[in-house]
Amino acid sequence: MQSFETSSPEEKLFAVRIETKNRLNLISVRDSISEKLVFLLTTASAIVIVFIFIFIVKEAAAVLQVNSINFVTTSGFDQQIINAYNAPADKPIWQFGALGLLLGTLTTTLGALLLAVPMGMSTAIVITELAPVRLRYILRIVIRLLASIPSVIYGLIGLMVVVPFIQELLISSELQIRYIDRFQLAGNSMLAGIVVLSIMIVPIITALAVDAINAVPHHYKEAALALGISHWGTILRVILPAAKSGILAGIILSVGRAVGEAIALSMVSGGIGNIPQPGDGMVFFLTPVLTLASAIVNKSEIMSVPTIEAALFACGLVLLVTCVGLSLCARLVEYLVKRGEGRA
Amino acid sequence: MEKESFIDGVLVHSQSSTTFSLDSSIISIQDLNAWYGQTQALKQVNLKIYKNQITAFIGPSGCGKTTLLRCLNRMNDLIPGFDLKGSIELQGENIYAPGYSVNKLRKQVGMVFQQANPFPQTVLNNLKLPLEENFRKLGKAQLKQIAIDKLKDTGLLEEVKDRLQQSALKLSGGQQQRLCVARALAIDPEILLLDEPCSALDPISTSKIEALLIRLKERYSIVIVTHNLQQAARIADYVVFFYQGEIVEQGLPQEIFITPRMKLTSQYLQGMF
Amino acid sequence: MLRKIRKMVVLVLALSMLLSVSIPAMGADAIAVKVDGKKIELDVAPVIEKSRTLIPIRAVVEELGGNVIFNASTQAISINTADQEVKLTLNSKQALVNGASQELEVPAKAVDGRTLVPLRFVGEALGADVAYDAASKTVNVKYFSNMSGTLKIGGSTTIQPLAQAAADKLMAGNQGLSITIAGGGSGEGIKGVHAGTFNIGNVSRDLEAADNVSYPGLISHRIGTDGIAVIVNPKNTVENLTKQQVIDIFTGKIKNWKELGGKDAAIFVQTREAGSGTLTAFEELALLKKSKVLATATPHTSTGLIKEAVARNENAIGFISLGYMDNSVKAPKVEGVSALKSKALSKEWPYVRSLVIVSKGTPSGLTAKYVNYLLSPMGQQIVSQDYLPLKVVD
Repeated sequence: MQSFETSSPEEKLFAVRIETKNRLNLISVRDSISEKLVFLLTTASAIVIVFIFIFIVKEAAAVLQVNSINFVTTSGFDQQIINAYNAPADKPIWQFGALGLLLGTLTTTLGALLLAVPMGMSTAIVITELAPVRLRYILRIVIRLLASIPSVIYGLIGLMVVVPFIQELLISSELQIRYIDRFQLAGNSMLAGIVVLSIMIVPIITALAVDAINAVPHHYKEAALALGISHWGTILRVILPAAKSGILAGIILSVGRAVGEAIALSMVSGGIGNIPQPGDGMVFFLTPVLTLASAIVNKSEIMSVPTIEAALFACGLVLLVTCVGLSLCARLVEYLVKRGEGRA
Repeated sequence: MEKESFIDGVLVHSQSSTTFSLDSSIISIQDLNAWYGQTQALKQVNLKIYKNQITAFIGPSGCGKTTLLRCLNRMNDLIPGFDLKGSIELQGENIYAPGYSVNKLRKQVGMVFQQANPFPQTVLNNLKLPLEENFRKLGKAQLKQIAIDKLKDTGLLEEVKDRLQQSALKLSGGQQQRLCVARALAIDPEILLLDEPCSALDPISTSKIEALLIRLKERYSIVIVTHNLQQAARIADYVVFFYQGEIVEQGLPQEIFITPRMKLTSQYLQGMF
Repeated sequence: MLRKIRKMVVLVLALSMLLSVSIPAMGADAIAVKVDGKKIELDVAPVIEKSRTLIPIRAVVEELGGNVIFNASTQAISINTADQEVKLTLNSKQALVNGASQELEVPAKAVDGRTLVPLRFVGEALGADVAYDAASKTVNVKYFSNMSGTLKIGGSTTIQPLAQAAADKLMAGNQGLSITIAGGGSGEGIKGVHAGTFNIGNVSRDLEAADNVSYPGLISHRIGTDGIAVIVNPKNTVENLTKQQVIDIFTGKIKNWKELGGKDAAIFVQTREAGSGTLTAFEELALLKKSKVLATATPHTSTGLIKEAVARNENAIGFISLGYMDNSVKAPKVEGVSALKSKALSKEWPYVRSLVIVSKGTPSGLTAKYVNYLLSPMGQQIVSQDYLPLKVVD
């Protein structure tokens, strides 16, 4: 830099230009490297996902060929697994039907959403809009902490608190005797699964909703308040709609976690793939169920049997398809909502 | 005392030729002091806002003009650490009196912000939303009619009549700002506050807004904060010059702009700060 | 008491004999033998011949988890551990180590009716470090205290806790040793050993013909015996069951406790997921291999969870290893026999099964040492905390 002091203004300008040009070159090199790196990583993860999908389909192929669509329209998975396990090696049993597991997964997940979405949303509103500033801070930390608790802890809480509570409150001895031939009414049930799952996903929904609400530009709130709209009116009519896509992302994430949850559910949901019958009334919710993910975990000890291995991979495939289906549903909802407000 | 004597008597505005007198004020501000935490933002402000006139607040950044504007509909309540002494009377009632309904106040005193802030919803919903929240008894047809009327009032209807069901965020900046004006008018206020409404707009959009304001003052009393001195000269009926939280000078535009009495005012007008 | 007196007499006699027969370097303070720092009580004092120490070998070999067989008619001494076989003949310099002939400098000999064997030769043939410390007149044998490396063990959750206890003891005595114990069930143990993921597989049943077909070349080492208890909630008033009632309950023929003299309530059968060693053993032992646990029974993935389920539900019934019994559940008598470990020891209890550990082929190195450890008095002590050890300790 010293040398420039004696040089003419033109030279100075020239030097600056060269410097700028060099820096631009450097930046463009750096940019192109990062660009390629990002592209590479993206491709790699895409390939991994495709590979996982192909792998699962390949492993599940044998069972799917034998059962085709019956795999998701017939039931009796638990007994079929035992039969397959006890079948002689030269006469393997390939018949499997995972309808019970699919229904167990869907009922627990949807039930948990029905409970958790309103709870999560209310908590998020309290944290972002209603609580005193210091309390908001503490609550946010608590919620983040809760969101990171491993699911087995929730499973234990479910086993110690939720299951006995359901048994005490909702199940009579007569009811147990009446249903003993079909299943055991012991508190381990779809309802217990729903409650535990919802406790588990409320922090996720809350944490993401809090972030989404905080990301809503302050000027929307100002605009609404300046129009004489009450605080609640502002929250419900302006802030929440503006935070919608973030909130929806949280819900999708929590659906993913609920659908894929294995440990906690296998502890509280009953462990048997019964098909809940709406005709049973309240007992519908008390039916012991088994979800796809729990089945994979619970039965994995005997995956050394090829038929069972394939059946569990088929469960995995159904799980994957269910996940994709649910997130497509969420996207559809998002699309419809956006069209409703003229953005699509 | 100096200020009192200055606005004493009947003053004639050059542009609008409207006459107004002391008793036509709608807002009266007395001995107003305001603080953000330890920082004093307004010092001993005394001012009257006149009915059906455009009052312009001018002054350098941070002089307190926006603070005062936001006191008029109590938007400053949202800011933690804001404190205020003195009184602001709207039609004889102190709006900072305990028990005074802020929502009711804001229905009477509408506001348009520096940055156009339509809700991220359809054009029509932007107008319907405040109506639905404030007048719950209105039928659907009535709601829509009012919305259309307000769009017509702001001259926006022709431009957006095919896009009523589209997102308001797809409109141009000027259209968005006029939509905000329409939205503020939808709940039928008496006073309209505008905080540098044209600072982000091009000259054509700006002149549209200015023309709109001149039309609107027949029905509303307007207070506008502006950095644009030409704008103040073009549309204001009454000009207030702020410096460091105090009113330095207030009066008719021709007096402020042509024969300012205070040295600070003439320095500001000459662009010295 | 009698035994103690006899021991004393033998000791006094032996000492007097030793003193009268002048053996070089022998004094009143005889040479001590320590295995992994633990002093071994010898019923006959060691003899030093041509600077070789000869000792009654049985105590040392058993401390290493092996056994000694003396054939009086052929004068042959056979010493076996999980990995090594040493054959000696009294007064012969020929020895066979794993079938290979070796020359002894000093042959085994009989002293006062006891067989004395050269310690260093046998110890080293078995894979131990043998060192003589002249200052303390001590022969130090190091076998379970000179281990290093990594050992991976897995399989039956029944054996897992005792394997962990053994591993903890071994690792505490060996700085460079790392032993990992995984669960997964007996099937995983067998599979893991065959695949090489485990060095040792824990299996809570005897290997079956089918295992040998699917996973050939495995060698099992029996380490103990387990009893399975039928468990109910402590509040349950049913105290006695017959074997037939157990069958009827677990196959769903009996559905109400009142049929068994209890209260009018449904019986909630708890079971284990297919593949559990305990379930397999229970179906074999209690359901006589003929039937399966009923389909509506709630399956659990671990002993802890089934016990928890029974502890929680007044009307539940399940089954666990006797070693896991505690006050949270109650075990009714079966055919009048209490579910006590002592009754399992005496085999009066009807539901008893083997505990084995398996290796791929004849074990060697660390794997062999681990097997030998579980067969040694220390290992058997650990086994005996929950289960029935191999030998009844006198």
